Amino acid sequence: MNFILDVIIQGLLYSVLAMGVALTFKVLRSADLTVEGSFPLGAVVGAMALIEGFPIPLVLLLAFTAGWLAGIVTSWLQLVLKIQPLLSGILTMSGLYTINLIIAQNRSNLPLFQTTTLFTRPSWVSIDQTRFYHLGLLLVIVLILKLLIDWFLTTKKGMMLSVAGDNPLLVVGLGENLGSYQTLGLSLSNGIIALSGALVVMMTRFYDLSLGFGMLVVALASIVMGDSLLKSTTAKLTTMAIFGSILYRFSVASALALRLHPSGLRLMTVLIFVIALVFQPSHMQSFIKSMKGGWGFATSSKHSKIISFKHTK
Amino acid sequence: MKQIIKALALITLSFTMLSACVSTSTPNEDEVFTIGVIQFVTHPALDATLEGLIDHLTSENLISRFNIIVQNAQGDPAVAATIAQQFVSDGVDLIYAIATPAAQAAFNATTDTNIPVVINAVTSPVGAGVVVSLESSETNVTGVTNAAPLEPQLALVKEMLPLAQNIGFLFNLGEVNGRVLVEEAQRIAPLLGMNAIVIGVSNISEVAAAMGQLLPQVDAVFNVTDNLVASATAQIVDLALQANKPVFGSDPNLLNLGLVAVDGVDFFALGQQAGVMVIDILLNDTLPTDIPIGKPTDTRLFINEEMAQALGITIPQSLLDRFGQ
Repeated sequence: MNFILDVIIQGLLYSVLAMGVALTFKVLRSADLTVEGSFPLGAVVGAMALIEGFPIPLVLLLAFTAGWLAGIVTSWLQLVLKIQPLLSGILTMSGLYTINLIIAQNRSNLPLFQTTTLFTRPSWVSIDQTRFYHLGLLLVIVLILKLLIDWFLTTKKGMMLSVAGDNPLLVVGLGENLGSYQTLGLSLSNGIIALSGALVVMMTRFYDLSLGFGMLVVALASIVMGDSLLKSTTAKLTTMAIFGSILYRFSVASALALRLHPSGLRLMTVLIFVIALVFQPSHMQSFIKSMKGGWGFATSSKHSKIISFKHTK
Repeated sequence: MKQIIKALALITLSFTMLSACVSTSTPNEDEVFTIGVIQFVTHPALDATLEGLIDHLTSENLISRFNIIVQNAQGDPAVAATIAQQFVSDGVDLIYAIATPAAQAAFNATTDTNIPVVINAVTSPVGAGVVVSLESSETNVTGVTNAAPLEPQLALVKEMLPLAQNIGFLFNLGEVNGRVLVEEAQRIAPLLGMNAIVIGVSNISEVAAAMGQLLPQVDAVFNVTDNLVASATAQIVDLALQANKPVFGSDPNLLNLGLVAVDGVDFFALGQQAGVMVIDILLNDTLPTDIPIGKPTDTRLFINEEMAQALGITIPQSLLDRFGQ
């Protein structure tokens, strides 16, 4: 029972990351590598703010803002300097490595055991109930965030964001500024990713520079698994991301519980990813294309072949 | 719906397999204790801390009393947290955490439990936040730190090269441990009549250029124990050899890459030290907070004679005597 509870808690914790990445990967249809830098950015901003004793809502807001700014940098590299989307993400990610070190005052590891975080057990919760307390708290946070994203995607701005991903030329045709929607998508996505970093650091109660390593693959694997699991339903992309994240954490926890050889863990992640991708042919294609840079913003002329208006669920 | 049923079936299946794995023991004279090992990453030094622990338990003829489960986080703090959580859920009797992020993950997961944690290869247990002081942790944590004093290591350089004036240090700007060691070196070197000349790099590709700057100014190079420098050891040695300069260091595991001599921490011995603590906690019911954090008791001298000969360094008799012991 505890095994399942732990998996759900971990899954919900990282579902925020998956929802953030889903915004660029599934709505804007581009693989944004900024995540590997914006996730630890949120974590280090969150950690430093906690050490400074800021109230929790302010900590989360600061992390979100930091991620938002990282997204703006990436979109600025793409739109103003006309650097390839994939490369822009890599550049921001690399730059953030140094920024994260500077924020942590040249430390690569920050313990938070002395600070009160969002997940610190209040006195009215007994020790045995800690798991349920964490579960309840995360359910509320994830649900609020999910509903906010769902609502945003139904607003005019959100709709245009989907169009910008599906058919950029249509956005231009409607007399809207394509660049501003791409900037909005990237900054919102990275803001949520950084928020996830701050939540994770509050749960693990220590920050380490290596936190962001491999986060894009983790998030994409979760998204693709969620798709495979719920593809025949009318589930929204946030719902898919949440269930995918839980399923992904279940796979990792099972691999560990079954005492798989340690060196097999990374390979297994990739294997899960590949299997899920194979069951999801349309996304495999879009992923390969985005990796080739074909779906990028700076090369939007390639979209001229797309005529029909296709809207995602 | 089919997918959901499939997923549920999978969950049930693995759950059954899991419960089969976890054995419940009844307390008696021959009680078997389960030790959950979290190793943060695979590395010769970290592997040695585990081998040392097992060696001590074996030599005490107690290995049959312990069921040791080893998990490796593959360098991912999130996985370290999951492993720690699982150990707590499975109700292990003790967690042996190797390297700082593993120690922090174990400490966090054991909050509000009585599960003792023995750490190893953590350079600064106080800095990592898992103990209050080295004398008395005031937490459920005790263990061994690998922080070795730099002074005997620099003294070794002076002993082998009495005429050496300037010692070069390369370090990673992005790693705390490297920076700390270099600052320490700048403080200690003058006491031994030498100057520490330091140069920082942020990437392994900058090593060649940095060495090019460093080598003309120094008589010898000292390899600090930061991960970047450790990874670049072969290259550093190669460049130094071309300039006919010896490279010293503090990690015995890097000796075969061409270091001339190492007076360093023996991680195997650190593992044995932790083994004593494990027995104390599990068999003698000592509380972790009552066991002070162990330090490397003695460093071990290693000399690469082939390399010394190639560089025309004669090994002083005093060192050969120490070597014989």
